[in-house]
Amino acid sequence: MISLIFPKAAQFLPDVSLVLSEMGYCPPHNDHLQNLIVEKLVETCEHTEIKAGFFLLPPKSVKIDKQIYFDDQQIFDPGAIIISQMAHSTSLALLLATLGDEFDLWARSLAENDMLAAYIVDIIGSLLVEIIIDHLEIGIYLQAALRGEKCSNRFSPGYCQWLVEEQKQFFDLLPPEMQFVKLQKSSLMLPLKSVSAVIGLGRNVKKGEYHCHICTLQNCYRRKKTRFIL
Amino acid sequence: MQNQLIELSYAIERGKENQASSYPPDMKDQPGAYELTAQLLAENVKPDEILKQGLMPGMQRIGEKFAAGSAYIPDILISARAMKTAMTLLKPFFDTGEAVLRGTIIIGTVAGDLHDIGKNIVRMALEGAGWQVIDLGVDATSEKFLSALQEYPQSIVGMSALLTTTMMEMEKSVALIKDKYPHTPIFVGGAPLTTAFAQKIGADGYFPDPHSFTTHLNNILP
Ligand code: B1M
Repeated sequence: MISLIFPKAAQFLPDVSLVLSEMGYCPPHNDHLQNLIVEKLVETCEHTEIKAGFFLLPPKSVKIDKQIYFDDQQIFDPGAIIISQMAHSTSLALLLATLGDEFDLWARSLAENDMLAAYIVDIIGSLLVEIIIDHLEIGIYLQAALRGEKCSNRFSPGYCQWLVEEQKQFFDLLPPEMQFVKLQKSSLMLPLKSVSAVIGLGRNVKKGEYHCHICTLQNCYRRKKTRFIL
Repeated sequence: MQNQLIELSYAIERGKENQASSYPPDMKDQPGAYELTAQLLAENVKPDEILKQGLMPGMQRIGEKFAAGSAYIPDILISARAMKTAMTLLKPFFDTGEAVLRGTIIIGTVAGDLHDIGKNIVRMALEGAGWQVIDLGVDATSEKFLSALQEYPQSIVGMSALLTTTMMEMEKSVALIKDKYPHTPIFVGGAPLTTAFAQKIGADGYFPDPHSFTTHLNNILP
């Protein structure tokens, strides 16, 4: 089953406080930055052509062992952490979202003269595409519920111990309708503001805890932030 | 004159670009980095002195605040913007060789990688620390680094990557550069990198953020 959406950015824009918090700020915020963020949020709507969707593999077509199998062929080897979180999945949802090429061009052109604007736009783009993927996730929960199934957390090739090179297998599984992102030899997706992810579905799937501790990235600024909040 | 240099460094730290700029609000209508630099030049203060005792200390202080967690990347960029405005007045002196920058750094995002925001932020911070930056942009192959080194043989090299696949490109580039220019210091950075990886590929250091990088450079080449 394929589900595609082509929403306007305005539907999903992050709010100003989320943008500021992603940059590291806690209140009280400075007005100058807030105004700039609002300006760039508005302009974002003119520079995005969002395409997003998910593809559900048929029920009972997936098996999780030490790797992930689809129709008895090994498709992914995401490492022990993700495998344990996907245990008992009997199907997979493949999610993909992008802001489109124009957004990259815009961000790049801003960088030539105004790095502050370019940085703000980069943060907005990262948050926006993640919000869209969050939205797809809700749609998948609904589909799973209709099938009497539950969902695992969402995982992206390249995170935890999952090698980013497995993006290749991910893209090979996508139906033609979802080939709106180009995968480079280096496993980089173009447009840059794109995200791919999978969710496991099954009657006995349990949603595990998912926090920074399962990620292997040592110098992540988000981890620092979490520590600060705690 | 000393007071004016201190005033200039404060304008840089706060990101007060010029008198007309409304930011920061508490410095409204006060002279900014542009006017203060123009004034110092009019009083025949050497461009070198303006750079090293006015502009750079301001950038250094905002960098220290960043390291201490009381300033963030936008604050560094706002200060760097003020510095850039002041530098338009000093540039002619650097172009003629009447004044000299700290040195030259060739930076680029390695082959196969098109991420440039992190590398661009590093470039701004380096310029703010008084370096001439030769920016090779994104998807910078080993050949591009080598030909830039041919043109600027005394340079330091900085490489950036955002994916584990493209950070492997660094290994190739570092080996090729070290083979031809064994004494060229090469530093690396980017989200998935670590100090251990930098050591493994024969780079001279890994830095998680622009401030730690510029501080290290200032220490090795004060
Ligand atoms: C020479 O000296 C120096 C010194 C310092 C240097 C330097 C050189 N170069 C950089 N620095 C340093 O100074 C700069 C300024 O502070 C910094 O530069 P950065 O470029 O790192 O910093 C930017 C200013 C802000 N930072 C960022 O923009 C990256 C932040 C993190 C959280 C991140 C984000 C936001 C995003 N991502 Co993702 N993302 C992660 C990142 C994890 C992290 N904590 O860093 C990383 C990079 N991503 C990862 C992955 C896997 C992915 N991402 C993806 C997507 C995304 C978003 C779109 C959601 C978003 C934007 C990405 C972008 N850059 O446009 C995908 C790839 C996208 C693509 N186009 O192919 C995808 C592949 C996931 C997927 N399957 O969809 C991981 C890569 C690991 C790997 N295996 O390669 C990752 C490290 C996260 C992780 N926890 O593992 C420093 O690194």
